[in-house]
Amino acid sequence: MGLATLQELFGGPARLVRTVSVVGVLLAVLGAAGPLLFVLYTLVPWAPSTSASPLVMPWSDPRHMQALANSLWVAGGLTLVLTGGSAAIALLFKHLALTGSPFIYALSAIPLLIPDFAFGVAARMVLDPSVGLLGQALPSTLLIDRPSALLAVIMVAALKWLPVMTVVADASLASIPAGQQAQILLDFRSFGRAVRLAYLPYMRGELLLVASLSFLIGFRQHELAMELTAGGAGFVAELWSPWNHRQIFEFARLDQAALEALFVLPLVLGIVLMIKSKAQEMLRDDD
Amino acid sequence: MINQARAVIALRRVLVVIGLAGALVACGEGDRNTLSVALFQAPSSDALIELIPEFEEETGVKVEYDVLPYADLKTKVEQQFYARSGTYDVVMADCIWIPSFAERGYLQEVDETAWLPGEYDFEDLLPALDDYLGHYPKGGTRYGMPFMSNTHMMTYRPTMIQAVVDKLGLDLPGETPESTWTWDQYLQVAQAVQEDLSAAGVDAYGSSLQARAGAWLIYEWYSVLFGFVTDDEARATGLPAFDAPAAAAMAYYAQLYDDAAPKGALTWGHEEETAAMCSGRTAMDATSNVELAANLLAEECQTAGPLAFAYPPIGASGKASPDMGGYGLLLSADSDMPDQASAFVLWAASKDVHARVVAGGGSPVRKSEVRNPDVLEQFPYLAMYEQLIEDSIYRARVAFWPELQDVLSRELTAVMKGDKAAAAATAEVRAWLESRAAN
Repeated sequence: MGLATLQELFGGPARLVRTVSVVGVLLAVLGAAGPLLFVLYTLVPWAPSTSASPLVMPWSDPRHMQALANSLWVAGGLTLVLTGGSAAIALLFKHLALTGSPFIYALSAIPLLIPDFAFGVAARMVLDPSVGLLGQALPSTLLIDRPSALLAVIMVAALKWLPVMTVVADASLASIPAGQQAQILLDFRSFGRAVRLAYLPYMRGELLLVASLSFLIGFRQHELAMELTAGGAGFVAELWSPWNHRQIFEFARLDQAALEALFVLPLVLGIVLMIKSKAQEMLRDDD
Repeated sequence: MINQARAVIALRRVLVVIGLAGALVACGEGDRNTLSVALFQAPSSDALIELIPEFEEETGVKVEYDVLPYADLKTKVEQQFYARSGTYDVVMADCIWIPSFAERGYLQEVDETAWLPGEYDFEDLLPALDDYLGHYPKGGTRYGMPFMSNTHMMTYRPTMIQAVVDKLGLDLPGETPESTWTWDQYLQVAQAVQEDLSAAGVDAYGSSLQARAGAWLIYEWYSVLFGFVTDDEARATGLPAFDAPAAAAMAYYAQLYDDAAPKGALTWGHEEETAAMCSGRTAMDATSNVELAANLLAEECQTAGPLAFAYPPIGASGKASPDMGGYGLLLSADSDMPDQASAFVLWAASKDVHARVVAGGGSPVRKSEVRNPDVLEQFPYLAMYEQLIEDSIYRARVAFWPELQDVLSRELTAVMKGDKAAAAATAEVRAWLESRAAN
């Protein structure tokens, strides 16, 4: 069966439909490209706040490099926690015959309805050694020192995102055809062996999707981290997004912020694309 | 064919809706009898909002306002300025934002005759506040009016410190520069109180602080800094050399934190610092915010023993150095209603209106307010206010202040955490300033 043309679908007004569609697509592309165009716009004409080369500047400010390193740590940590955690919970559901439960799927959406800043504030009410409910039991420098503050951000962000990532992992197990599922049960008496030799290989594609999404989610952490740690003592645990925001809105250095974004976005995209290409490669192997 | 007709009708409806929306936006742009004001979320703003209908009735100008928390206010106002959109005609701006706004051309001059011409009482404004929150540079163009003020005083709980004070042979700090303590005496008492509390196994501390990196930490530390800096010119500009006296001030603050303050104070701001005094978790606060002191008068803050207020400590300069802060109501350069906007800011800071703002929980900006017996009965600590403002120092009125504040925060925190010597930290600050000047 061939595809219907606009003329066949709409008759006379097809021309109007085509025009509206083209305008709509153009607007959508402009909307998506807007931030990038704005970044480029702020660089033309180049009016740097320092005389350093624009190619060197983003890497020469230790504050920027620290914030970038912090965000990469959070992104990496969150990737590990969400990928490992979602796989483990999905497999547990499989073991308990809960795979594909609509009730669990519905529950998993709840944390996503809560704004990031609310998660951050609530977590601080629990974890802050000064005022938190668990404060007395926790190290007094939990939200102050760099490693523990970053770890706290990773764990609290994981609380928000783990349920939905589990749904993705669980969906991969739910999509195993019934015949194949029966074969797995016949082939492997122990659940552990089935996990290692059948389920995990089956989940690889979705888990790599979870990993790439988790990396992006980790890197873009902003409000949750600010509310929870306030950047740690002396901004040692400040993340890249709040730093870039402060460059624009606190220091009024739009050129610097634009340059940093121009250098960092390809870096992050490169990492995500690397994960994605690895996923595609593994899926091809599976085929 | 029926489906085709429905699709066409639906498309036409969408186009009509888009057209109507555009027409409405265009109509909105033409309706310029409405002032738009961005306000900081604070008791002063709440009190002003109650009075706005009076301005509307008197002038026929409608006032729309957004009340925003600190970070959102800065972000929204900056967005407007970047876009030159003129969304807000009047913005309530923190003192440390004013130099940057003015130098980037985002503000316009207030027409001082736009409200009560010839009768407006400018002389009644506390001069230092008027200059700091309404003008730029010092003594320069009037871009707005002072609306909400702040500085430091000392707060303490006598029941928690009396025994130590007696043991050290001191008197409790008084309400004048002559009768208050020195910074050394404050540290001595804080350390001794801490030792006693720790020995008794009480989870409380000798001193409250607000050491959250950024505006909070540096607002507080600047008060200590000018206890050590004796150079009058630096005191006048707010920009010292960051040499040995600054290093001594960093070392002092680090010792106070290390010996007598809660470790969590490194993430504390105004509210946490004040709450710790209210609850009795801390015995003293040398840099208590006058802006929040009304909260300390509440019944619940007296349950651990009554609180008392005193003049802030005196440093090597022989003068106290509370750090002045506050907010001005400023005119946006993008406003196309400068006359009405000028009238609004003058009205909001006028004698009659602002007195009612203070009565409603706002902070004073006029002499008549801090001399008013009714106000003093309600807020007794304001008896010190005129002198406090006169003695106050301020953070440097330079456009690059926010970034200098960031550098200072990092260096001072490193000293407080024992990661860096104070002399090395001030050397880093000097190097940053030099590299900035060179570029």
